[in-house]
Amino acid sequence: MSTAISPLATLALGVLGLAAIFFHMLPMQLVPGGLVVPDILLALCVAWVLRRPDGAPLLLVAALVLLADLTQDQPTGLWALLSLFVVEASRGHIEAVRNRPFLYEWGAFAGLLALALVLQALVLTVALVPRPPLDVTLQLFAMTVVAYPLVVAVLHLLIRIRAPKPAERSRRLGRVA
Amino acid sequence: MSGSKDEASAMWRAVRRVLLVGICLICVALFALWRIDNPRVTTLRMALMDRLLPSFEWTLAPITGLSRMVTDFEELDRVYERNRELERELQQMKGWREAALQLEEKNARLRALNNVRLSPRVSFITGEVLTDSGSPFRQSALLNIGRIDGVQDGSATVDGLGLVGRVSGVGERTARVILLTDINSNVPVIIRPSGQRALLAGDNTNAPVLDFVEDAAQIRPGDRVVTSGDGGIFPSDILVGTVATGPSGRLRTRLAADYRRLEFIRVLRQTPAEPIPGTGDLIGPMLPPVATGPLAEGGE
Repeated sequence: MSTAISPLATLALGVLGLAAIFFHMLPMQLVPGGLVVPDILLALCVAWVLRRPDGAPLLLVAALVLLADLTQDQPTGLWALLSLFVVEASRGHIEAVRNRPFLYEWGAFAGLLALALVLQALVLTVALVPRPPLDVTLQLFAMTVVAYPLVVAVLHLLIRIRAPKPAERSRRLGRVA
Repeated sequence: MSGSKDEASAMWRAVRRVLLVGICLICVALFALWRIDNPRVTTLRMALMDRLLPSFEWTLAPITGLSRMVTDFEELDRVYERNRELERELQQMKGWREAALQLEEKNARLRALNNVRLSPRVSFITGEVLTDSGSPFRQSALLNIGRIDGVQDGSATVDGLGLVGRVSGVGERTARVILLTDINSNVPVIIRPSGQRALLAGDNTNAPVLDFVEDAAQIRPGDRVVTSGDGGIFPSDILVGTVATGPSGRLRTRLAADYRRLEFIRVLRQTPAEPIPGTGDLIGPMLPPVATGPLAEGGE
């Protein structure tokens, strides 16, 4: 893991993260029973961390998830903590993801998200907070998992956030070691 | 050289770990604070929204407009049918209006006979729905009016037709409304004409459930549901909706407020009734202490 931070990629993540939070705040979910909006911010952060870890400093990710948590009407801090956990866990297996096909990355994201949702339900139960209905949670899970490849595609094609190519990687590895 | 680089990297990693732990602790503390002292966190949250919203507002307007246009367009094909429906309804309404006017006149006459004093006056202020501040699990909306406009925590909110929800969380310029469909929303209601009392409990569906009904047999689908004013939070007799029976046989309420086009919401300002302090002195005036003093001493 390199210590250098790329200012441009960081700035881009900041702007996109704010846009995602802003998207969540649009008055489109006033009627219950519609489609649950996926957690785009989380998908964005994870995809970014896996591609450009130098453009996703811990402080920025933490600030984004906390801000999202505070603007939404939900148990404060809990989902921010779990989002951070998902992002940091993804950061931990960057190398494993880079050498495998995209399906592996997708599966890992789904697994981590499922774990986070289960943890959320557990903590809420322990804290005696009424838990959200199961079908909404499942919908949120499915929608976010479906949204992940889309986010990745947008990052890859439009914003050109890509993992370094193998050639670059070997050069960089040589430099670091 | 590579040694110093390794050292720097190790130090950086240590700093990072401390940061991570610190952030996690902040999150846990926030959650604990939220669990223990919810109002304080709500205040904090509303203060944040107060700061945040003005910078968002100019971008919100076009996008909100666009999304509304899309939904409007979807409904365009139903316009003709709806128009005819409305015309039919209007015909009926004209009849009802006449009846209402006559009743009002009669009511006024009867009130004058009885010398009735009506409940404290209710006034309202209207705000615009800025954002949907709910998460997938919560149903709430954010209004662009706040404490400086006279919004109070707990006030009832209505759209043109019926009850929308309750104000929960007031900032200087913003206020959050918990909609009736939210799982935390519980409103005491009366079902007319049978006069049964019930609790309207939201459950994240379009039609909230009627709980704690005394005698469900007396209630028919189509009965009117109005607020009862029990608990002193809502004024009484605000229209909520009509009774409907759910697929599983549970009594539900079809809300009168049109949640699909919540654009402007009225916040009711109820001038509270004057509280009656203390208990009444029914027994008579207190005896002067001189009269009881010698008696008590003599007893001992």
